[in-house]
Amino acid sequence: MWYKIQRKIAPYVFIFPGVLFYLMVTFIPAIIGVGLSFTNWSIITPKFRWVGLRNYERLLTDDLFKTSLINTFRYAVWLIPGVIIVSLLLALLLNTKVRGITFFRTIYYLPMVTPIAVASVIWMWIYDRRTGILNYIIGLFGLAPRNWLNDIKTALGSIVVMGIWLAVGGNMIIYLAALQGISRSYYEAAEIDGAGYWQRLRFITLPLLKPTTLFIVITTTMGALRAFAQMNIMTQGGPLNSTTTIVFYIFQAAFTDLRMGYAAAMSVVLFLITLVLTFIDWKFLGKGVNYDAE
Amino acid sequence: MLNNQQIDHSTGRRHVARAKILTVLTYVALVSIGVIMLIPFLWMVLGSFKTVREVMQFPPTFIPKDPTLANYKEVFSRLPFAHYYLNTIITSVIPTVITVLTASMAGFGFAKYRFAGRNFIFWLILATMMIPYPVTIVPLYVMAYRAGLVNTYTGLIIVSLSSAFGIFMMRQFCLTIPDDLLDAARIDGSSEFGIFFKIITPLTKPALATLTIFTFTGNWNAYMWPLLMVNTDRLRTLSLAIPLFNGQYASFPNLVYAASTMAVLPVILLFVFNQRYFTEGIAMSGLKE
Amino acid sequence: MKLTKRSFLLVITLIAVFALNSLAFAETLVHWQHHSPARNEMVEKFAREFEALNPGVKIEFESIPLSDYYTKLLPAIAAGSGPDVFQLRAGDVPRYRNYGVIQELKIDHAQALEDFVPGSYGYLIENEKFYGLPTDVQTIVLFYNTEIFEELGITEVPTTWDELIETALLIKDVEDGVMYRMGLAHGNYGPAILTLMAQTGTEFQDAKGKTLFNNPQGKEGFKFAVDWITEYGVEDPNFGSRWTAFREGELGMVFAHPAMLGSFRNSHPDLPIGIAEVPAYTEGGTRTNIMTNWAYVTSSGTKNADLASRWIEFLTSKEAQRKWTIETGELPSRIALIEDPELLEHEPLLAAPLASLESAIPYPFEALSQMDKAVRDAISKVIIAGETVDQAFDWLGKEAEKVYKEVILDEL
Repeated sequence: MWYKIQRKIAPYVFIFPGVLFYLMVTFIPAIIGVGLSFTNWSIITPKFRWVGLRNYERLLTDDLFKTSLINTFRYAVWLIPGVIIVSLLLALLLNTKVRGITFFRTIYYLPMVTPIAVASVIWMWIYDRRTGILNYIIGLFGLAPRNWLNDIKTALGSIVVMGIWLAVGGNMIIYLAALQGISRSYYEAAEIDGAGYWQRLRFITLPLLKPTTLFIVITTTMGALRAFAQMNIMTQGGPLNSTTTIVFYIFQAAFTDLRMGYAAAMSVVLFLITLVLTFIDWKFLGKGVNYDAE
Repeated sequence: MLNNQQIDHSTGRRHVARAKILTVLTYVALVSIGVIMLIPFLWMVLGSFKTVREVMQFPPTFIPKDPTLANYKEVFSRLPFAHYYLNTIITSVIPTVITVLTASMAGFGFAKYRFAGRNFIFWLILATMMIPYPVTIVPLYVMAYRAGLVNTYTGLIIVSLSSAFGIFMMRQFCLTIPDDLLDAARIDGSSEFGIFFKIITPLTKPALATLTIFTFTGNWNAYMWPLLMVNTDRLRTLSLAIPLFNGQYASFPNLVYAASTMAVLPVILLFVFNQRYFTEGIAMSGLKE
Repeated sequence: MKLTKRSFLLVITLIAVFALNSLAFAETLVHWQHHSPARNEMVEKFAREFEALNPGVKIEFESIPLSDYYTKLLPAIAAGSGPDVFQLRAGDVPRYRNYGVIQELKIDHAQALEDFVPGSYGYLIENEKFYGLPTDVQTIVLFYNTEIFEELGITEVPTTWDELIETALLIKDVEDGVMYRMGLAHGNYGPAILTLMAQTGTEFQDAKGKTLFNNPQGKEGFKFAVDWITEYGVEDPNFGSRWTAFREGELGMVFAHPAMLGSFRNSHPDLPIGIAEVPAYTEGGTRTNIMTNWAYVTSSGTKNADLASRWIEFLTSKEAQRKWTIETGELPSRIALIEDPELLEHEPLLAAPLASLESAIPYPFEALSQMDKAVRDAISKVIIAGETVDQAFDWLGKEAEKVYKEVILDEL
């Protein structure tokens, strides 16, 4: 009897502190944030008017909003696969019996701790038109130098590469933790059956990594859709808005233009987009994952 | 018989040769990516030993021509750095310990139980994670101010006692643990809490180590919230202090590099000392079937 | 009995001391401003001086990095936890006044109108009443490298646009299409471009936000800025930071704020710098340039409005501004300091920056950061996107009206 009651109560006890502490500081501000999208609030005054759907109507005719949406999608489309492939590859490489795994793991972690303002300085130098290392390298192949960050065609791509650099280390560590968790008995059994490396990868490793991949895809998607820091430091959304992402625009609207209501409306749209994409990821990648408790 | 052995021998040799090439290729890949990962960090560390003139020189130098420790002296003499360390430790360690506990418990709860409202609550958490902070941070600040939490340690800590990222991650890791294992423990008379602490926690050590380091790094580098909450030197954290070496017109990248290097050091040390837990997962804890 | 009486007295004395003490610190002013290391130390010193002059007053000073200044200020104002005295960009003052966030200063307004440089308070007054006093004043001046001038035998610093381009072409060093030294640079910086436009005598915007600069004069100024890059090739956007180039002797002349002097000196103490007022449009014309500045304002919620006004006056007094200019290189806003012998003795190069105050006009748009971006984008439209000067200039005119509607009028 006690056993049954305990099992009924246990999950609520387990989730309670984590859920409470999280929602306590996010739920009400999020609801207020949604509410603000129906006002013309300017942050600095307690007065505001309800304006109904006017902020949303304006979004439809705002070219910069359209541009920033497209930029955000382009950023995400390049960044997400890049991050997943490179971090998985690194984790697989490190999960072999190489020496110095500890050393490499530490090195790969460094981008996560290097302050982004400092890292940006170095990336700006890498992309520098005159003495940047990138132009030096492509020069070896006979290609003409470019002004990477000041060119509408290359600015966003340059920032994507930096974004991958920034995100790979962390996700590699998560993959590695998952790989370390896979029981060796699976591999031993497969080896006895004569399965080669690729077969083991395809039929054992990747399927068992599915929950981790789902997690990484969803969190990377959320991160990509909210990209802001590099644009803010390196390009200020330029040249000619070619790196203006939606959160960059939201930030400008809220804190520079004092149009918090409008910023909130953009945030709600971004929220809905993120929700839909996450749901698709979930349905698509969540399939076939071994959810014992379902 | 003899024939067979010979064949085995030759394929074995070919195997060894192939393995060697693979190892070399692996190292080439690991090292070249490692260099890309390392250079910006190294740049910062080396820059902290350069003079202001050298650090602003063009084209830039990589190795300091005339290494100096003056930047470190200056950083320490200009700001109460030791005190900032203490503040940062307080506002990082406490939330990290609590978050790792609350997030792993919640992750386990979501992964291994069926209960009313499970999916709703879980998606609620994911959904609140998706609203960009420029819009939520102002209402949150106003709430914190009304609660009298501005300029307090509590105010700094309270926003990071749990994390959606952590709950989600721990949920995914707990999913991979077979239910049979939990049922076996229940048959042996273990309570649900016993299961969490005696089975889940040891089995998810790599994930817990990962979550610890992520949460710690996040709290250590936290900028936006402390920026709003702190109006006094008494509570200032390292990340708030670093930009203070720059002004609108005068910038001192050398001092910023020195301050950043010192600020980052504890995180790296924690990461290095944390290493052994990353590999101590299922594979090593005796779970073979 | 005696003992209790004594202890009673003691308690009374203690209470009195505490009461006096708390009374003594009843008046606390919270002061926020954006950060620079040199300024930080100085304001701390001023605060201690002010406290000594006004017993019982305490100044709590908080210095915030410029890039995060508004991010911190705005939520604090929203919550009502904001500072008593703080800085705003001059162009922001009218909007904050309309929103009721700041209040009229309690000072001698007629005196202030006479004491301060007119360009610095255009946005700060309403019906001749001050809502803030000017600080952090910047004009646009011409920095040049005296060594390069000597090397090339240039003896006259250019005073007209024609001479400017002539000199820049002399300095420019291009071989086989590769730039080795730039002649002149504006870096697409808003106040620099607007300076060129202002020199042709154009107006910029009327009181209702209608664009007035969309005329041949305005276009000529804009076109001249573009021509530096396209027509004369004295500036090259691919050359990297103009500040780095100037530091390394790879740039002859640059339009800049006077405060850059301190920045150059700080990293390259032996850099041979000369400073002149910006050249005029034509021979004998005025050296019109664009002034940007900040203002010290008091929050409407402050309990000590009088004290706050006195502190602001103290911070902008003649003595304080003199020290300020010496320590930070930011210009004073008091007319009395324009020909101050002490300042010139300390730094002879300040002569041109101080003189430039007299021909400076305030930044012509309230929404400074938005319009700086618009100006930069307009130039980029020609340089990067290959549009014609006419197209880009027309766009700039429309963008200025759009910014006014969205940001200043907050129209939906």
